[in-house]
Amino acid sequence: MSSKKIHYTLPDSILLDSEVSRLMVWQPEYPVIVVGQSNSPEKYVNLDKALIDGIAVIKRPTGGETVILTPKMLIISLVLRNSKLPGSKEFFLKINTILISLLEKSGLQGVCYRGISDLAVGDKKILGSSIYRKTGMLFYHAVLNYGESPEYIASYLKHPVREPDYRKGRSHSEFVTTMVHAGIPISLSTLKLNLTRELEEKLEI
Amino acid sequence: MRYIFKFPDIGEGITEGRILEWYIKKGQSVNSGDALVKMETDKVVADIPSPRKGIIAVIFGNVGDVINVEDPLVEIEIADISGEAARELAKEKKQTPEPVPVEEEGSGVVGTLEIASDNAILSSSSEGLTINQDLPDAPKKVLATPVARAMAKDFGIDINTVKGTGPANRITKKDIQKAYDTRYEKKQIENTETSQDSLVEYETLSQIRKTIAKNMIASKHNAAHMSAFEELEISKLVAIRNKYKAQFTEQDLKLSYLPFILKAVALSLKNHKSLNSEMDLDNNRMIYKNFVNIGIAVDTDNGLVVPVIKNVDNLSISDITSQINMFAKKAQNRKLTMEDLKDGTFTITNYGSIGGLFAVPIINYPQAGILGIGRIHQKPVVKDTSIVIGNILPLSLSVDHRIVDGGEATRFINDIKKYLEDPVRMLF
Repeated sequence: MSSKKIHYTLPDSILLDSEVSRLMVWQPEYPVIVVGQSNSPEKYVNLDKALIDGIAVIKRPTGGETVILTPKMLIISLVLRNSKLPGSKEFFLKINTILISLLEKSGLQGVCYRGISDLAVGDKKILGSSIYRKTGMLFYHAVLNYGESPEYIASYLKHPVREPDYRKGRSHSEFVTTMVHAGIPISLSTLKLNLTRELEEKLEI
Repeated sequence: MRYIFKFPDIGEGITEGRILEWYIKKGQSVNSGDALVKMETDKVVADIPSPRKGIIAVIFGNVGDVINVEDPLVEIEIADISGEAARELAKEKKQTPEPVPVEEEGSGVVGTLEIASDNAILSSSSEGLTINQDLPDAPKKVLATPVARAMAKDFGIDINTVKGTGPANRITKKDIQKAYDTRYEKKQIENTETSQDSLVEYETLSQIRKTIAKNMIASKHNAAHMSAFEELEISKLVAIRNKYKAQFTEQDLKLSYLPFILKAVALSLKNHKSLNSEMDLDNNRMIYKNFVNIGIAVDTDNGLVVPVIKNVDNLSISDITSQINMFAKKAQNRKLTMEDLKDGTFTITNYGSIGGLFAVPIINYPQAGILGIGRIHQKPVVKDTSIVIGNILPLSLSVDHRIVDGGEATRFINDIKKYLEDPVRMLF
């Protein structure tokens, strides 16, 4: 199967063409599976299930593993345009520190930085992120699972070829949790607003 | 007052319908919206609701009769009359000519019976006029001479069915004689037919059969049919369908291959717009459709019907399956509506479910193409230099060669082949 036609068409794709730094915190309107830049859809996605249910599969310009985005999730997308951009590791640390602080202020306790760029509550993942960069541009993309059932995610995504140490071979349904399940007391829309304000302020976008 | 309710036009281009069942009887009370009669029109069986509340005074036509749009169905006795409409009606009534007396041999001068006029026929909509029965000279009976009336009685002829040729359309004895002769000749023919019972049977054409005949001839007369055939090896599709069949059964749905075929055809139509078009010769132009609505020819006990699944390219296999299941039930129960049948842009006919392999389908004119689906069967195929058992899906495509060139038709089939031989390609 050719993947030549897998174009990135999600709302945040406009950021790639932006000449200035911009931030988008957004909620998908319908489920869509997003394959990492170097991922092969056959290896990572239960394609026949996606076909039966009409879930689109697209490829993103950033790295990282395959994810499914649903209306019960929040996506943080931002592009930095600067001649002096931070290194990827440095940026992951910076933004995750901001996010942990904000989530704690929002009432979600026990959030920690895990793996290369994940956020987790205990040993269960609530956020995955990745970066795409080229000269003068850094594109960051994070998926925050506010309320999507881990079983739903597991029905479409195969076990990844690579996994962070703390995953320890666990299936999606055992590895992922939701912020709702972890006890966040605020609504998705409030969280979206808070994230936008906090990131704009702290990252000066 | 009386309200005469005419058979309304319930769909596009329908001019007549057959009475299948009366739900009401003379003297019965009905409310607005109550079903009066079940009518079979060109492709639809529909209940016709009462536009008014009242008591059924007269029922026109018997089960099996074919009546035209605008012919009266029932007269409804309505409690009140008021308003401008009734006054207008009364004014018109006064302007109708007085009956003219007629003399016939052996009869006296008579002829002041009242005749029904067109004024008695009202709009079929709920906004229709009403007739006040208390108005002077309210119409009641046909105009006829006493001789004619007596002859009709003797011959057993319903005088209300005879057309009068006398002054003011009065029925004369000649009219009755003519009606009697016509009936006699008809009986002679029927007797002849009966004597040949063992050799042939006669059956009045159903509305559906008449419509099929009309549409097929229109297609053959207007489109330049060209057909192409292909065999697809669909083992991957067979595996996917088998994997999910049980899951659909749990939801009381039958997952067939048809939803996958519809999806593949819809995506292919997006790439080949000439197959999703029609030729508008009257305006010297092509009409390309930016939506994909696929009709599925369904073989029912009552004939062929083609319900349309709208915007197939945007539907999932699950969605298409639900719609196919729903339409199959509606078709078998004769519950399809005009809405279900209209706006198709392409058609699929699945004779393979009965057992056929290839066919030359007739285009559902004015559409540009129709795809015939044959029976999936196993046969030896060559794969990677080995002979293996393949699952073969035969396809027969007919196109209007005025619109679609041979190359385009072949490329269209190639696209369908690509999608059905490797179904997950439909995702990308």
